[in-house]
Amino acid sequence: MTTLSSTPEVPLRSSLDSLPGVDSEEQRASDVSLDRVKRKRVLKKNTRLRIARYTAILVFLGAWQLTAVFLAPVFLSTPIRAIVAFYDLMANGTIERAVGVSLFILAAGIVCAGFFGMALGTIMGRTQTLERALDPLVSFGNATPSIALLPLMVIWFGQGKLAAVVFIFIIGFWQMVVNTLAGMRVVRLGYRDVGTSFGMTKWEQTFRIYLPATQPFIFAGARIALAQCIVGMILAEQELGQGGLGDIVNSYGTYFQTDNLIAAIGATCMLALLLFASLRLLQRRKFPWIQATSASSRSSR
Amino acid sequence: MSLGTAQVNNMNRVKAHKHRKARNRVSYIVLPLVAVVILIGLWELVGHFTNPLFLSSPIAVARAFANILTHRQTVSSLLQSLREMYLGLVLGVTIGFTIGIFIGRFESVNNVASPFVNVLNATPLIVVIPLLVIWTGIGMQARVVFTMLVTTFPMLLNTAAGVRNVHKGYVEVAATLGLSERATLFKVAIPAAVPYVLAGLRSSLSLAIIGMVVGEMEVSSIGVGWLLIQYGDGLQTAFLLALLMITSIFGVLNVTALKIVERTVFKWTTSTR
Amino acid sequence: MTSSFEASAGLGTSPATYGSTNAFEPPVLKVRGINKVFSGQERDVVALESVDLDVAKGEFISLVGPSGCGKTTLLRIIDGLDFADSGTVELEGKRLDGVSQDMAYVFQDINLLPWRSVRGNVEIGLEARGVAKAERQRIAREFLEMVGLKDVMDVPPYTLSGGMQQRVGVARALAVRPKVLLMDEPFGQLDNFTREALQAEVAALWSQLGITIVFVTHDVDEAIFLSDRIVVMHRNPGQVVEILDVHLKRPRTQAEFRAEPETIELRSKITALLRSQEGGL
Repeated sequence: MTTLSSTPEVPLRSSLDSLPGVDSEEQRASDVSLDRVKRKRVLKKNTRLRIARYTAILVFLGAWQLTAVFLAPVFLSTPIRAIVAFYDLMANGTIERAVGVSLFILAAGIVCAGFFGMALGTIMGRTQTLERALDPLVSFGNATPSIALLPLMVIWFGQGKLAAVVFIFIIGFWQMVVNTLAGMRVVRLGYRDVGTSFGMTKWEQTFRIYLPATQPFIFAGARIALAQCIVGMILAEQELGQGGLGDIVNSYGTYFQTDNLIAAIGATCMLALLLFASLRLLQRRKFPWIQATSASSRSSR
Repeated sequence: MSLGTAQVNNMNRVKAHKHRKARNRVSYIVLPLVAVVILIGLWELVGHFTNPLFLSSPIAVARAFANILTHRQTVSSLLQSLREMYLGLVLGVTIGFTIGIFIGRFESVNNVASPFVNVLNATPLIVVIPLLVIWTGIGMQARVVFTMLVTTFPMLLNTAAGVRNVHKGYVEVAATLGLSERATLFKVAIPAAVPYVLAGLRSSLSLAIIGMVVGEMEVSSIGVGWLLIQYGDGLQTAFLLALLMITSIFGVLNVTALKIVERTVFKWTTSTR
Repeated sequence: MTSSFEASAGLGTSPATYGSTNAFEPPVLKVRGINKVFSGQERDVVALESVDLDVAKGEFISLVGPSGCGKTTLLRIIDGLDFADSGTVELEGKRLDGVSQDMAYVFQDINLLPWRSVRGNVEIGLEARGVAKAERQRIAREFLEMVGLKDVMDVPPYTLSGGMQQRVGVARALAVRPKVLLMDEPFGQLDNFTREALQAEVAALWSQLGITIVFVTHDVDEAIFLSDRIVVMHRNPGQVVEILDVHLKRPRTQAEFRAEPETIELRSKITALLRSQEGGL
């Protein structure tokens, strides 16, 4: 009888590249057990697929460029104009400054969210009384669109960076609590038996069995929290200024500087991609067992 | 040991077990109540010592809550928000589901689409809002399109994963029974993907509220998001907190509704997974 | 409150066996009057009903029975992983309450912790006993060497084959130097060849280390090959039906023991006992 009203995200694929698709063909191509003819055929297929992929990207960019013929540049700009604008903004340091500010706010918020969220999730997961008492509150907190808290944060912490950091903290916090708690609840009975059988204390079991076993859920939560915190970061900057990415996106929009706007959107996009990639890299390097033992990664077509 | 005493012992054990169960049920109700009472008490206490601008008392918030739900202007704002949210959600989910099926089913489509999908998915779509405003102005369209964009991706990714990961055995059953490609898709692959689709719908639902609030905060003169900004600017903390609670209730209702649908319409998904 | 099987088990009325049950030494493990009921939605299942068992020091004893006869539950209760509704477990005359540091458990699904290396898995029991790091490493190396896995000490466990994983499981349990080793269908998930190889290894380790082993299995031949005594169990309610002595001389080999007349006799006797229960459901 669990009362968590919103089901936490279990580790689920979050991008198409992690699907067994083109990339698994590459892996199969490198498989030693494949005979040569087959390998050649797979490689050929890969090349074909890659050509199709890059052609599509080029066609997209070409079509975008061609819209300039009949659309005023203020609507869509063009890839060339956007790239030029991006170069200029990089050259005069606008983007670097904005990224620096944004990253600072984001990192401060999300690190706190990760630490305190995991701490509360762990304590709740290991103390039945606390779990039962706080479960409805956590569900309610998680169901609240934390994004709506921004005006309140401004009242409490003023129009500054502190409001933005606390705002991001709250957004990430609930997700981390919910995912840590969900992971604690489903720690494999067998792992728990190992701890019990060797006579570990409750404290030892928490740190040597429960927390490590919960890592897949923690990482899944971190991915979702990161996505939501980036949104929170942009929103906070749009409302509060402070010169971050959200701030410059907003002002370029307001003044119809579409070239700069698209360049800034591109920068935000790259930053987000980079952050997600770092998280994935951290997981692969430091916690390789998550990937290796998840059932989905073994599924082959 | 005679059988008689064994049975008595047995019955005692069963009784004790039932007793324990009943106590469990009580603790599920009592403990959260205690926590809520403590929280409200703390709130009231802190409220006494701080400026009501920072934290209004629970009573003031309750009054504001009633106020919001009885005034025509605020109620119409709430309704407008709901309308936009569900319109965007329906559009986004439909588009995501359709594209997701194609991407999951055809490797060529996946191959071409995945760079675009991956980049758009990683982009915090909120940065696109100024662009949407340039295209459609600051009306309802921009907000609906934004909610639509936000809700498309979870649905798309999950549907694609679901269709792609259909248990190989099911597909082979369909093949040996001579089902056509099309029949396999509609009778095997899509039904088998339902658990994934529901997971996608769940994410889309929670993102729809965020999309609605954000869209209205950025571009609007109506709706929940706009009201939040107004209350914030006017330092009307009681109203702000009351509206936050209303938003949470939206969220809880959405999730609960989906859960009921899952339990009744798609009962099998919970039993086979 | 003395049941018939207890007499044959603990009090040495059975003929003398080869270095196993000793009538004059008190049993290392003494199980008395264990009851355990699992209450289900519709009806309660009596997993164990007044089960008594004595295990002699240095003995290899197997629990055999159909699934659902409570043999795993009994083993878990002995280790303290589950609690009995009533009854007692005594180790060397001391009544146990909860988990004992003097016993170790080998699990059916192995349960190696994937976030630790092979060596880290073997060390975990030593960590719980507060053994210093250098000493832990030395012991882990020693026992991994004993099961022939010294070369894969630093790899993650999920890269090993099933048989190798269970070797790690055995090393992990042995590393804490238990007085009694509890093994719960440890080879149930392995293929035939691997299973037979591991059976021989466990038999060798048992005689080399001189420990006491309680072994749960549903494989009759496995029980005969390994054991000094075989406890045949019954399901619903889970009870001990009979305890049989195995007199086959050691060391036994997989090739020879199957054809021994005693093996054939024991096998048909146990099979008959198990088959007679089938009507019970």
